Amino acid sequence: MEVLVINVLECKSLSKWYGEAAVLKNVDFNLAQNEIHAIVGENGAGKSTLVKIISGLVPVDVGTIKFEDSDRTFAHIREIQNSGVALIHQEPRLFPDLSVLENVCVDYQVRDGKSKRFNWKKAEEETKELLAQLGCSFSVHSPVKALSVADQQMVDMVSALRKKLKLLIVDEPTASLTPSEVARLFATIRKLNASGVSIIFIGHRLEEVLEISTRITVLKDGEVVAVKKTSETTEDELIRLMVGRNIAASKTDSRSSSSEVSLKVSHLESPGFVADVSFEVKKGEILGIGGLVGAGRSELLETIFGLRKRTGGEVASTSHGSIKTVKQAISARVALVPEDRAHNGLFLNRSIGENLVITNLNLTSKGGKRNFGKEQQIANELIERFRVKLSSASQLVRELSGGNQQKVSLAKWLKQEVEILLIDEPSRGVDVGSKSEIHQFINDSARDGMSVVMVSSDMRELIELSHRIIVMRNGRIAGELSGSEISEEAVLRLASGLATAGKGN
Amino acid sequence: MAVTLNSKISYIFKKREFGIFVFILILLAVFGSIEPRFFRSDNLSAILSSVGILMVVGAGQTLVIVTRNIDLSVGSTLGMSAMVMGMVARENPDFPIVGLILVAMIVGGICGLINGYLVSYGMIPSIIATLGTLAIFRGAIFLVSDNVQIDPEDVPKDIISLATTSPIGIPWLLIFAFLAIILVWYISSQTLLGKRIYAVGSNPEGAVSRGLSFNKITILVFVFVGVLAGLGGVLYTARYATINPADVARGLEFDVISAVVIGGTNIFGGSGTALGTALGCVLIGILSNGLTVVGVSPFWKACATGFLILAAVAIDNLVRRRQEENFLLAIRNQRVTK
Repeated sequence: MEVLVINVLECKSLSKWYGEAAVLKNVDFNLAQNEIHAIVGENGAGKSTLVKIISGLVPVDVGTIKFEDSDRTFAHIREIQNSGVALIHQEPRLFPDLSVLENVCVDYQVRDGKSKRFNWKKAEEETKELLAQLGCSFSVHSPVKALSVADQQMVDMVSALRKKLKLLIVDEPTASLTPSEVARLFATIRKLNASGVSIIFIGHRLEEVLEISTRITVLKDGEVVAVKKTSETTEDELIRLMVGRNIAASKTDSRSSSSEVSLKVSHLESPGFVADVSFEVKKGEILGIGGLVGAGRSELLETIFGLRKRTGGEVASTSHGSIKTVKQAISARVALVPEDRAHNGLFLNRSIGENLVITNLNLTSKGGKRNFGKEQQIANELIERFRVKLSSASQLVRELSGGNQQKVSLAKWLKQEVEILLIDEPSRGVDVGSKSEIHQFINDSARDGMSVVMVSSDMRELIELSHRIIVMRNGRIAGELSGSEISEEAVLRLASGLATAGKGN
Repeated sequence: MAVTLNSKISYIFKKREFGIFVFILILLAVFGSIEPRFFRSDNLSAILSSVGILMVVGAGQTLVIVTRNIDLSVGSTLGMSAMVMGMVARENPDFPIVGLILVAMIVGGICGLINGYLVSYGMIPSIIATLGTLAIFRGAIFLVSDNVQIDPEDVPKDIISLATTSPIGIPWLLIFAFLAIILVWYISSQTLLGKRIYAVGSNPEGAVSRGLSFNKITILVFVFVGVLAGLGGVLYTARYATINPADVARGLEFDVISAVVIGGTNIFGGSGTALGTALGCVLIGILSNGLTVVGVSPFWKACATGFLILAAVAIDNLVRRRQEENFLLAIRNQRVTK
């Protein structure tokens, strides 16, 4: 039943840069009247940025956006919302202290000319009705912070529905939902679609994408690589498109790591994030941890390092015994390089030199008194070894680029003779040059006998560096890949729950 | 689950206000039994007058704190308004009383507007911005008045009678106080504007993504507290009849913020009630008067108030945090162990 296609939304050659990194390159995106259009792609492919631009949260750098034949390229977010566009985030953006009803009404415009008073009774009835339509049973008066994430999404949805909704954008809505909640959400989306609302759906789980959508756009590295009709494509094809050329498996470094186990994690539990995780890391091995955002990967590293409350299980280093606290971890020569450098890894307002020696103060101070000469010497050594680009060691860390900050973050652990390095997203926000230097460092360290546990959402990085990969899903290990089994496809399958293969579990 | 938690939360809120109420009764009993003069009518009306002034300013401060801000300059703003009004009255003995009240409120509003702009468009954290204007406005009082105080004979009788005459059995001063509290109750619970004020404090990023105007709301609450501090200036003049540039309402911000926080307004924004603030003002008023009447040294008095604030905030945080942590964990656990 091919009919004339009317586009509600037309985006032409959108480009967006964050700093020097292009997140979107010349993206064309058309949305036909009344379709459910899915956008898929790996982490960092630019999906979220695209919908943020469409919904007015983020301004576009180059390109034009037309919505219902009027130009919306630089429209204010309120104007866009009033024209019937709503974006629902993975983590609902609501007001936890307000009630459901208040959340729904808070941006409502009182339009009837005769009375300036807001009619709460009428609003309450309408809200109740909408909630009932969506199959929600909670009270409109309960505070939003008392609702589950799935129910909060429904509140977000109802807030959107209160206005005349024409385009609904849902950004990875299912990431934190249970299967029955997903079913309810999909029923809602279909119902809305049947009533004439066009829908953009961003999803990681391909199974779900294929179930709900009518058309699929595949993004890779900020570019559109394909637009497919859902009925004419398959999971395998989508994965191939998301991944790109078959670069996988080409590089399998067969140098054998030693058989000596250096870190043993058994049945580790951290309430809400990590469930029954067990694995071993050998000396000189790089163990990659893959998975989707929110799968509990960073939390796993934090739990191992003793930062996060642990309710069960054990972490033990072969040479230093059981690790329970951060202090024990550090004295067992374990280091954590966190993802959020600005908040957790560095003292941005202190100098590079100070940042480098802060973890080594015990080496450079005597009786509690700092030895500045020796600090300077160590700092210079580390700076040289890591080729940190700077004007002087007294320059503040905040003035460095992302890549150089990451190098400082890594370098400061070096003098400690780290045996086990836990590193989270080593190259996020880092330029290409620094990236390869960081990779070099990780590889060299492993060759020298350091064990590395690396969380990465960058598929290529994960695959090229890791000797072995554990894929996490919902706080648990979904599977383990090693040697020739390692491919982007295999990781994606495990991460999105399409396959349960693997030795793990 | 949502239902039980909901009723639990509202139960605790009720308990909170109820708790302040019980504490007030205990204070009354203790002070009364130590010093029977505490219950003499002139003492009680002295308490009520100072509570009334606190309430007017505290009502405005509640909304400011709800938006995750704070106004430290309320004492100086009140003093500035009172001084300008006093000078106008001294120069023009026939100036109508309603006009005088308006003058005070406008001066207060201008002070609030300055604070609001500094915090919103100036992007200066409110604690710093209003710390600055606390000093600036205080200095301005000296400059404007040439360090000459307003004496009782300069103040129109009509203004002074606001603290004593009573149209319906209670003096005007208290009527203004109740009106301020009722106004804040009305705004916060009945209007969309009120919900936006709470929304901005509850989730500033969310407010922006829902298209709410963050800066407008910030300016609005600061102007609101400024206008109420101006009204407070009128009431202050009514009660004390003397406006000394150095003394007028010095340190008032401490009592006001204490009252609001003890009344249960979350210093991290998003929640707080007019009723809680009203009770907090009564508590502070009784405590400060009672400690003096029973002969506690002023040094101990300051300590006691300080301890009370710390205890109130600590208990509040403890209850709130435990409750929220447990709930979030329950939700996440559901998901991981499904």
